[in-house]
Amino acid sequence: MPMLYEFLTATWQTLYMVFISGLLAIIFGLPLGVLLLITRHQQISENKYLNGMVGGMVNAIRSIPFIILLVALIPLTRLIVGTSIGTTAAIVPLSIAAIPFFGRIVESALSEVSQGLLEVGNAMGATPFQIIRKILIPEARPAIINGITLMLVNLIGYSAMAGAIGGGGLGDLAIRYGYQRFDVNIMIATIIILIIMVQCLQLVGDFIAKKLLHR
Amino acid sequence: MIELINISKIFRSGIHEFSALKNINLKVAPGEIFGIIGKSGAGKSTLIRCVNLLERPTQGDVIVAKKNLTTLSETELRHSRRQIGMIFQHFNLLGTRTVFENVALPLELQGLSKKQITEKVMPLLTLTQLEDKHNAYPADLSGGQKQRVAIARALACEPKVLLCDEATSALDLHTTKSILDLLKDINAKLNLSILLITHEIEVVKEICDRVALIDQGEIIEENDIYSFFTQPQTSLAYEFIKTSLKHDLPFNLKDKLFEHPVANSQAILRIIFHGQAAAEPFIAHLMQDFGIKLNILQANIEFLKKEALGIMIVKTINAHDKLDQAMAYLKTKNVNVEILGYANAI
Repeated sequence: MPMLYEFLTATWQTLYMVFISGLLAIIFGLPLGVLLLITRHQQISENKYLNGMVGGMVNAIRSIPFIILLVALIPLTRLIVGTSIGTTAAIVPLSIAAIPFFGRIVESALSEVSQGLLEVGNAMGATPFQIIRKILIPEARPAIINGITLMLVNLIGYSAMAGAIGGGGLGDLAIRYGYQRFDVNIMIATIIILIIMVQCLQLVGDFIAKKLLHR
Repeated sequence: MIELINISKIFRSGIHEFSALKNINLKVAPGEIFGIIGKSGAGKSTLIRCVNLLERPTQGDVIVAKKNLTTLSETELRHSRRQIGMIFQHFNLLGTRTVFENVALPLELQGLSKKQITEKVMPLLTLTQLEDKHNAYPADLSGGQKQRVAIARALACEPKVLLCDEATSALDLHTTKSILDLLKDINAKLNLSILLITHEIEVVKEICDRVALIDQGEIIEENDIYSFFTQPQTSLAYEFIKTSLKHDLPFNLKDKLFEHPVANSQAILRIIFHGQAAAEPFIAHLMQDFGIKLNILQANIEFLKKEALGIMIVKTINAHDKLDQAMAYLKTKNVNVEILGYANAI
């Protein structure tokens, strides 16, 4: 059955795009979020200019509609991946859209950690780095996990647009068969797979966050 | 152990200036429990935060364990802070760490090995009666237990000084008592100096050796606990202690009092005794040696840091000219006595 093969490939492509770009967003977005927080007013290493600059860049990238970003980043994608077409190539714009998004999520999660705990760290003679590593990030972990779930679900949505640059995936399948060829059954099938994917992600994310919360 | 020299703190926001602390001078001796009492907004919190420089004073020197903290570099300051334990009103425990891990945190920060950490944490959990809770998370603990964890954590680095920032204000009466008992216990066992701030006179009464009263950023009274309770110098001090001790005349007598003796009037005395004096049967002596009978109008015994403090208001009968002698006698026995006024015989 060639159609089943198409489904399996598309599902794999979606998962591949979402998880690799999600991973990259976590790797780069976590330090970005920390930087955004600690340079805030009255924070560990307050720096108005750095905060304004980094925050401005984050806002700029987040303002660009993803479909535009996808096209605008083609030269950069070609530089990194070697080609601007295909599933791997789609990871570049997906990551670049997800990093500032996740950065803001981390920033807000960290800002929820009570000032009292930072005071404890200071009173214990912790270095700023120790405060970040031993107090801020561990205490914000449940909120950060919730943020990761949110970001991955968003990435599933964004990955549907990756078809525009030949990225493939379930979204692409739904557009090609369901929208362009009026094959309603295939459209419904892709939507069901996407719903299941999102549900599973949310369930796993909630479970981990709850485990970490100890409340 | 702690010395604050001429501490002032000014908060600036834009063109507004607020003077939170004004020329504070304070000395806490080794092994002493020193209390700072004041109403909210008096500057207590700012003051205690100045001791470990969580708040840097605008002016003045902070000396802890013979080191002037205000002159230290950031690294040296971090090092010195390990010798200053601190506990807080809202406990400030890490919710994602177990009791054991919370107490272990300051030791982890110092880079101790797992084995060394366990060796240090377990006795602290025993001291604070938390052995069976070592795997629990703060969310599963009562307020009193949380404060015990915070105390164990504050003691982990074997500090010389413990700062208590309204440590019992979020606790009920019974739990407050048990936390204060624990503080007294560690003060005695570890010879730890404790500086605490509170707005509760009962806390001061229960554990402090010395007490300072702070009002609008200034220390307006400082004394040992007995003098503070028995001879308040300021109206604010009086206001604090009257909620805790019965010092005043019974209200039915208050209006009928004369300032000077009149015909047939009898002296009304306030007799305050504590420590050794409380053990002497001085009322019997007054009768036998001076022929003065006493009519007790009001009496109660209070305990200040486990020592008895008696406050008695009495009416003398047939004292006449012997009153001065009798009062001199009482003063030699370290009994504090003062004439409140005179009332008619009947």
